Amino acid sequence: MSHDEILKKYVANIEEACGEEKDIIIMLKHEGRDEALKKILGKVKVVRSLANIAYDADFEGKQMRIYRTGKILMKKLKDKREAEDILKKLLS
Amino acid sequence: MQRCWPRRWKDLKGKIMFDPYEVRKDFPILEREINGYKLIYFDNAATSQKPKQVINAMKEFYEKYNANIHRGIHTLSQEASELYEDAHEEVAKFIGADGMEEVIFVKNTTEAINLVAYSWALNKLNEKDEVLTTLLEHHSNIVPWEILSRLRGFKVKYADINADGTLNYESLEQLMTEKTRIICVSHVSNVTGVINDVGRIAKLAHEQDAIIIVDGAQSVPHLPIDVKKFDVDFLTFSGHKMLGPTGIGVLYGKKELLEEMEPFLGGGSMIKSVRCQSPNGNCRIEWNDLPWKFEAGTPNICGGIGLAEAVKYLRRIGIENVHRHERQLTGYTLKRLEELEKVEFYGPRDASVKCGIIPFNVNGMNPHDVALMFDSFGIMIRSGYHCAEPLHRKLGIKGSARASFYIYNTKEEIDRFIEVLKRIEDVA
Repeated sequence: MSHDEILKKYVANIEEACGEEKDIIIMLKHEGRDEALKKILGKVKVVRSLANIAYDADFEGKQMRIYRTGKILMKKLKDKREAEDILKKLLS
Repeated sequence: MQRCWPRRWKDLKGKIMFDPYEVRKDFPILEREINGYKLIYFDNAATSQKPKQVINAMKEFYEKYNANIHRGIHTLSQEASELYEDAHEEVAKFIGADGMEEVIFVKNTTEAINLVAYSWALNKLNEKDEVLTTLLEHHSNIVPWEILSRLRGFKVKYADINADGTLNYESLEQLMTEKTRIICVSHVSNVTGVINDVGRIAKLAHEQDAIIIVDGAQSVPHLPIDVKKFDVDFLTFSGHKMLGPTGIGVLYGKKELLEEMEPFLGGGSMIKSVRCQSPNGNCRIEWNDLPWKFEAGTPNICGGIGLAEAVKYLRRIGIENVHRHERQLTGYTLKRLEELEKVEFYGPRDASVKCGIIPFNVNGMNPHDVALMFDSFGIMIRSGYHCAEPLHRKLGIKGSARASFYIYNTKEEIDRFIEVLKRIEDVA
């Protein structure tokens, strides 16, 4: 499966959040969400678990908060493209 | 759910006028569970939920009356036209307009403001003029004026706000000059919920022979509005924030102003006749009567009918009761928020000067994170700039989380919201 196909399979939406800091919000598709979360959590370094609803994690120096609901907040990225590149690595 | 508070609003004869727990039964979506929790919908400033009466009216239209309106002579077209015209009349009554000639259906508030900008301001303003607005505004009441100022050369000025997020009337008065042709102001801020005194601002505008455009997107769904009492020249609002469907909004305008304005969009329905004199000459075009002069092409007929049903619903429960209920919820929320150490909230602390919109931040967390946390518990709130970046910059914050209430929200939901907020504080 190509990287683009991987994104198409697991990712519903990637949004640059409005606000001063360049945070990116990723919404995983409902179908395949559990599979995607398993892949992602298998590759990131989990720093802490937050009340069993989210995980603070690190991947190649990038910080993110991964929600069990299938949403991910990636912090201080350059743009959406950077988020896509990280996701391709996490989901392949 | 326990029915202890808020109390039901009764009329003078003791008849129950409004009971939020009964109201909830009309909103099928409130039965949903999200992420394993019963849905709590606190994103009403973005859009409201729809009662089954509105959903059914729209379904009924498509099942029984669907046809294009006006000019059709068959029965269905006539019935659809009557329903669509009645919808205009219903909205006119709701805001105290003289009749449907003063009520133009558009797509939303943004389109309504753009209509005034392009039909009125484009033809009347030049580099000698000024448009006065405020730092409280939604981008929809800033960007059209900035775009037009680049075309026509006029200046856009912004009245300041006070530290508590209320409008600074002194600043507004100081910026008002003989060059001011329009004051564009929101009735209620979509960030702080502050209610502006539009009657006072209208008086100020008219003393200088300026006109006033009021963005009523956050007020018409929640407060009693009378355009004649406030003496506003234009009022804009959206159907979807007041129990109606998306894709339908309203521009109210004084008839004499609408009559002198050029149309915004050209096409079918907005003309009476188009006569081409010669192969090389321009056509002679006669505009249609109000409000159709401003409703080019096939309009959102079903949306208009849905909006009218929403208006009937609000009239039945009483818009004064809506306001009282939300004020009670807001006051209670503001009081409970004071229990929290890491939560900072913005805008006035007095619920009587605002609508049910509460912006806040949790120290150490960005607002999107806060919204995602709430989402995990089935509570829908909004985060970011809320299309009001200048206001956030003025308040010195990089965005905010925002809870906003409507008729179906309850004290128990606020208690749950505070309980979750305490858990969020713990992980911040």
